[in-house]
Amino acid sequence: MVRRLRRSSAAAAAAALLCSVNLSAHRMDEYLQAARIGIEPGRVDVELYLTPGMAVFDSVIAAIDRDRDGIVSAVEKNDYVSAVLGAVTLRIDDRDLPLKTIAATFPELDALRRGQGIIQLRAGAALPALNDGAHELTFRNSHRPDVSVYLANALVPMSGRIAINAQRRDHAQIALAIDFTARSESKPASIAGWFAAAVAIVAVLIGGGHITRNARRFHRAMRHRTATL
Amino acid sequence: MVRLAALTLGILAALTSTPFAQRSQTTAAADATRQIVAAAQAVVATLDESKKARVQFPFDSPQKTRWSNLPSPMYARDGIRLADLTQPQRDAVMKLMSVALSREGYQKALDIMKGDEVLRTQSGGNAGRGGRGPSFGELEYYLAFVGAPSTTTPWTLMFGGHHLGINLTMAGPQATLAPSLPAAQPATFTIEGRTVRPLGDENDKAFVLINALDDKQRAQAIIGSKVADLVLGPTQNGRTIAPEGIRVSTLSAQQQMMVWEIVREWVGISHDAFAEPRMTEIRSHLNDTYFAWSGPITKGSAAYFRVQGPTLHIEYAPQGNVDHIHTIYRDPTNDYGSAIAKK
Repeated sequence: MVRRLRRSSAAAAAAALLCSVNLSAHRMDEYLQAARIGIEPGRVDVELYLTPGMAVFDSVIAAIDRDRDGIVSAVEKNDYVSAVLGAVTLRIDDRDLPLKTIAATFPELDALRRGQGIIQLRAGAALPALNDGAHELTFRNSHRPDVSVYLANALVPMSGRIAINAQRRDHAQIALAIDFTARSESKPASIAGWFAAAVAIVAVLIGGGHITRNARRFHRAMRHRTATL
Repeated sequence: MVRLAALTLGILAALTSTPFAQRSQTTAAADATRQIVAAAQAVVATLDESKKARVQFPFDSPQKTRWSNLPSPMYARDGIRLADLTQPQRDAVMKLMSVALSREGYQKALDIMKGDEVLRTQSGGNAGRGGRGPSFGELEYYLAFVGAPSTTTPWTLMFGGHHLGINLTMAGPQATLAPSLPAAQPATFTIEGRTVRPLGDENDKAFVLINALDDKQRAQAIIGSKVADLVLGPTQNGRTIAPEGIRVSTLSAQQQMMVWEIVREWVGISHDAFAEPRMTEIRSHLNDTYFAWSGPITKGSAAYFRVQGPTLHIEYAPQGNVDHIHTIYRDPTNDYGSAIAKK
């Protein structure tokens, strides 16, 4: 009963806040779902930040706090994460990539109620060995299209072996296709390669010495010219 | 005669050489640092012990990233609030901001704060933190020092309210304004017969550029999807998204100039002594800088744009209409002074 009262008074406060803040509309009536996708050799990282606006809080929280006790239990968190990720598909070159949850952070309900809280999900998928060359990773987030706006972006890869070439999306950014190039690790050099490298290093050292000597001559000449001026 | 001419040319070359220009910029930056530190210390001198404790945070504290574009109490800021200060204390704070920012940057900050006040008035006022309503307005701004103001050791000047977040990190003669968030709602208003558009130049210059592109260039610049909000807003630290749009190096010299003039709207908020070297550094990444656009290209429409380079991330994101704008300025290599504070 106390919880119910607390919840209803908090809802009233949020409604009052919403009414008085209508001119300061900070994503009040939408559920912002921002996805960032990182492609690295051997894995794909998906980061989803979910921010329910105050006006859609009740609708979103109903799917999280299912027993309506005002507390989001560990089971309810896991179930919600599963529901969100169940609506996300990830494919590499037309092959499905199953996503696994890595971490999930839920803010306090009050923060969510104020439109300030962000549910942060991190998920990952193993990326099979890829041939060198062009590939396409597709991401689709179909969670709550009735109230949501979406952002989907590829992150700059940390590895030099992956290069993002282009990103294509539908108008609402529910779906994102990332064109990228994969490059395998450079192969160990052959004996002939090592020999060629050694020759090149010696050549550079000899050339470098020659350049250094020339530079010294140049500086001596400049000092002489300055003195005569 | 020939020797005299050569000597003259040599002297001219030496004067205009990069090391000379760099020395001059470093001297100007060191002077600016001294002035800003003095102004910050002047603010502290006006405060009683309790406010001194509230304004000061350790440099490596979480306070550095605690800022937002949300109004109070949706977001609870720390530091000293203008509304809680005496007039001389407020004057000292605004004097500090006028010294820390360029003339144009300070005016932009004032206009944004005034916009918050207009919004507050249009909303029928607010009840402040003790009441139920959201709190914003020109006095709902907070100042905090993260690290003690110093000419030698790193520190950050944080000044923020509903539609403005300034984070100026200084390390000796070096400084960065990244990340900062100039925003505006309403985006156009009138005060004493003067029409004020805090982010009007940013908007107008971007529309001039997108309309100066030919069809082929425009097709490369335009992202074919709706961008509903800032991608790397206040909480999105430490991330770099893959660049999109048209590569600036493929534009004509005149179009490139338009891009740099857009960039200057954000870079130029900081003191001139820091803005000029920063512009030079950003321009040096011409080949890896991109301009992207989402939305209609007819002036007066709500359209999103982004300028992105290896050390630059600028976004301009209308919040559903032309009268409510959020923007962000970042340096992925030096947000919160991560690079300069190490040196």
